[in-house]
Amino acid sequence: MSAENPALEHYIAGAPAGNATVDHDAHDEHGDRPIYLAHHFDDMEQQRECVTLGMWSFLATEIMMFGGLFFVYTLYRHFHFAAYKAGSHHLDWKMGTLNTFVLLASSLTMALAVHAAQVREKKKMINFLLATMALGVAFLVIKGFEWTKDWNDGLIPALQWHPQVPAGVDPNNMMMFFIIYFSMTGLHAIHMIIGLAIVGWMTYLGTKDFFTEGNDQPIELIGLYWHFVDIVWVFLFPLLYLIGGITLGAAAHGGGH
Amino acid sequence: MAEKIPSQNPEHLVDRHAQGPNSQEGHGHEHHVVPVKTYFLIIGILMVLLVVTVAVALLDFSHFGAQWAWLNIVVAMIIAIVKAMLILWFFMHLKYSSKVVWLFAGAAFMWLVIMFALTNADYFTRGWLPTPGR
Amino acid sequence: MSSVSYEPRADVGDGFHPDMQGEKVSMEGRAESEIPINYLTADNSLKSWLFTIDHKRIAVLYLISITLFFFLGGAAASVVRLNLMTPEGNLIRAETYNKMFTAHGVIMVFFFLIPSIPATLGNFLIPMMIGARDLAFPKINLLSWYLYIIGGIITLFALIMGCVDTGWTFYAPYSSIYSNGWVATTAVGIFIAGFSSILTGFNFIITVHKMRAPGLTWFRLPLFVWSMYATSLIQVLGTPVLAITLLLLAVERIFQVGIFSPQLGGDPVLFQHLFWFYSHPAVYIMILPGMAVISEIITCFSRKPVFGYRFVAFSSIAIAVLSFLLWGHHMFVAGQSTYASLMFSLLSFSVAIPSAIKVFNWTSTLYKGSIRLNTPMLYALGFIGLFAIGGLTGLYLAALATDVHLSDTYFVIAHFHYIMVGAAVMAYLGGLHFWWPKITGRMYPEGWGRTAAIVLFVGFNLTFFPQFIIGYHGMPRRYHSYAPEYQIYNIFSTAGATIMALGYLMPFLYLFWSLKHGAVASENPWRATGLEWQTPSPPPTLNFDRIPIVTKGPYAYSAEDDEILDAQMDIEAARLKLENAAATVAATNEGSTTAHGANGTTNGTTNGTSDGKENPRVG
Repeated sequence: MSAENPALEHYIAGAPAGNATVDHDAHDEHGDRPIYLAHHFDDMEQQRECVTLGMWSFLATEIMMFGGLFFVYTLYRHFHFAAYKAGSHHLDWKMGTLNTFVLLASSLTMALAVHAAQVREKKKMINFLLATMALGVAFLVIKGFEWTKDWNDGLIPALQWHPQVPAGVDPNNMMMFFIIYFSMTGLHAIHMIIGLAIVGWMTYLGTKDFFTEGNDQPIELIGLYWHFVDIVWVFLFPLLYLIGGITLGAAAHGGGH
Repeated sequence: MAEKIPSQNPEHLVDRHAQGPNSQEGHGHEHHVVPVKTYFLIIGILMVLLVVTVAVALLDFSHFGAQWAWLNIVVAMIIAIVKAMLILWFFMHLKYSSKVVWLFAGAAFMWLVIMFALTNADYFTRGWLPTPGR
Repeated sequence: MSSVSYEPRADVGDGFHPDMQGEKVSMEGRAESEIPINYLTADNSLKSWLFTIDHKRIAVLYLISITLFFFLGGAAASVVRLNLMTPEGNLIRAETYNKMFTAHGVIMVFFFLIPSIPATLGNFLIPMMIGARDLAFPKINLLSWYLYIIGGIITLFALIMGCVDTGWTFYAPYSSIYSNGWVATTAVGIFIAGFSSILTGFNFIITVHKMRAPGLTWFRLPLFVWSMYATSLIQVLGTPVLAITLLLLAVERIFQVGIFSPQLGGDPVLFQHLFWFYSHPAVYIMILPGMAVISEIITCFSRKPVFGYRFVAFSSIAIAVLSFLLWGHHMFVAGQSTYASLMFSLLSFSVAIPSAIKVFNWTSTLYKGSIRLNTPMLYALGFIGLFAIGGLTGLYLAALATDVHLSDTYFVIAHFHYIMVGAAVMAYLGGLHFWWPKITGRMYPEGWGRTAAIVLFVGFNLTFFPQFIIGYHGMPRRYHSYAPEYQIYNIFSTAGATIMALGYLMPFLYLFWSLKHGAVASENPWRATGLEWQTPSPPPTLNFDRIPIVTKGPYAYSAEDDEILDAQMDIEAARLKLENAAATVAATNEGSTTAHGANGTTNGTTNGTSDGKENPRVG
């Protein structure tokens, strides 16, 4: 076939010939290929690199998505600082701190789960995954308490809005703070829930020896996702809860200053 | 696995050293297993930093004078960035990843910077030039 | 011996199946072993198509869906143009007019242009061009098609149920607080389609990074791959910002809170910043794949390697990166600070540089090439001219001072249609024709192809050139009525639109026709270089028997080699003729009864087998 176009001989050596109906390579060496190696990859190394880059690409899109929200926050904080500060003081920084602690701990347990998968210790891996899930659920429960309290204090824009607005602060601007607060923490919570579902599914699969027979890659990938969600919270916490300084005992009443 | 069939070209035209994208060379620690001790060390640092964040917020720089109030957010952000870097570097294994992964991670943050920088460029330069209305 | 175009040679089977000689062919009656198993024929059940992970089948699925949306968007445009025939514009009510141009914009931008070349040609060709069996993530590829369909259905639902009258740009607070249309639903539909775009994007990026054949270094890649890589960068980094913008828009609309609404403390310009942060790079998502196709077509049909390969490759990446720094030029009159506007204006000029480099390089490739004016080449040449006009008029808009006058006039509309339609759609059609034999195994009818290309070119220019003039004279865009002095130009424009519609209908019809009745194509009817041409037409499911090893760069074209090949084929044809004649004479000498049989079979078998050595062909 290269003879048909002599120019092509320079371009390609060992060109495929004729009618290809079935790819024999993959099946010929079926014994050498682990079952968790996809058919279109040459070897585990390629698969590993591709899926790692895939997860990082996805995280890049998440960074840009949350980034848009962070920008909206930044802009309005600049223009309406007083309202932001007032809004922030309605939030309970102690629960926020507890949440940050919980999430950081869950990152640790996730990293330990990845480690256990790498060294093929199934029981440890399952335990750490369960611990991660427990901490994640704890995060959401604490969030639920926070939001219930916000509801009672009338801090939900458009749905339940009757906050105590300190003097000199435009209520619309404070509402803006809470719109952004609920958008950011809401989007974050959605990502947590999705993460929990996936971790749960992997825990189940893990009990079936899925990840401790050499295929630790998926655990590592969900680990990347989980750590990313943690990083988002690490930024959210000071930006939302600690605006303009905090005082001990301030959040107990949820009242304005 | 793809067969490396013998090339039909003269030897001097075939680049035997042309590494395909799958080669291990230059990648190093694909399967580097991070010791558990490292994880505990990092989490310890992260917890300490969390305490520092709250302490600084309790401290509230504006007590030293209104002109120092901006330090609140700056210090908080610096600590947050350090925490994020620790998580990225150790928990997310960036330290042990290939340059391509660094490129992807770096590009994402770079683009965030672009968005922030140029959009802020509009808002913070309003009134710089004497055009009416902007 | 240089021919003006590639025509099927009946005497030797070059370019087309020897049996067919350019005529009607049917696969029935051939022995089953003769019909090659390719990605189209392997398992024809609906289930196998809807659950396929073969990138080629997914490309075909996209092709069908995109064509559907194209005609829907075109229908909306037809209503717009018909209304604009009279200055009063009372064919339809003003609100309906608003809904029509919005529908046209939304469908064409998000459901036709953004996916068009990447999802059809990109999906089909990238693995083949780099010598891989599939993309890096085949199932995610399929997911991206499903997301596109779901997003499309939701948006169509919104359009049918009552439409949106905000323009495809959805400026808040009109879209969020005051509009009476189905904004939130449309936003959700586009949100989902955006994820389709993201998934396609990072699939391509990782495939190109990690799945190239041995020896295929970055600078041996076809420029198609470089441009598609650049497109994918934009898709991955820009689309998420659109996602969050639409999300916030939906929140504002559903809860009636003031994120972007001034009365409630919001800033409408913020919406514009966030929207255009994606939507400006988005227009480069639309043009870079077109440039990708042109690089391939120009080299093949001038039989020359591309001029300045590295410049073209780096220009593609430069365009992708720079495109993220320009969005403010859509907001010069929106209240953006003058200082920032100056900065965006300067940066907008900078992106013209890599674009111009590419145009110069393509033109230099043409210089002293052996030009063949087949249909893909006609589209490619049209691209170069129309892209040049579109790009130059973009400079008028990039310049702050003139943009103040031209903003929101028909000048802008003409500018972007020159790029999006004159360049991008023509590149899409050119690419479709160029790779049609590879995708379907059939050739389209060349005469009709060229006619349609010319009809389209004429119709397009008649439609949009007058719009430059009326825009310059101040006719505003998005108005259903206009001052009477613009009427003659609008009539020209509508007349051109009718011709353009014909120019789109023709390929639709004859390409469809060619599926059953077109000449069966060989592996490489264009004598093109590139790994995708080393496979049968259509290719088998796993693309390659053996992964090729690449030892040299792309575009190893040479007009001299073509002349040698043409001469070889002339010799072969003469030899066949001689053999035929000899066989006939021999048969006649032997006796009459066997002569008929010999005559009848000699022609058929001679062509089919004796040139087997020169032109090994599938089946």
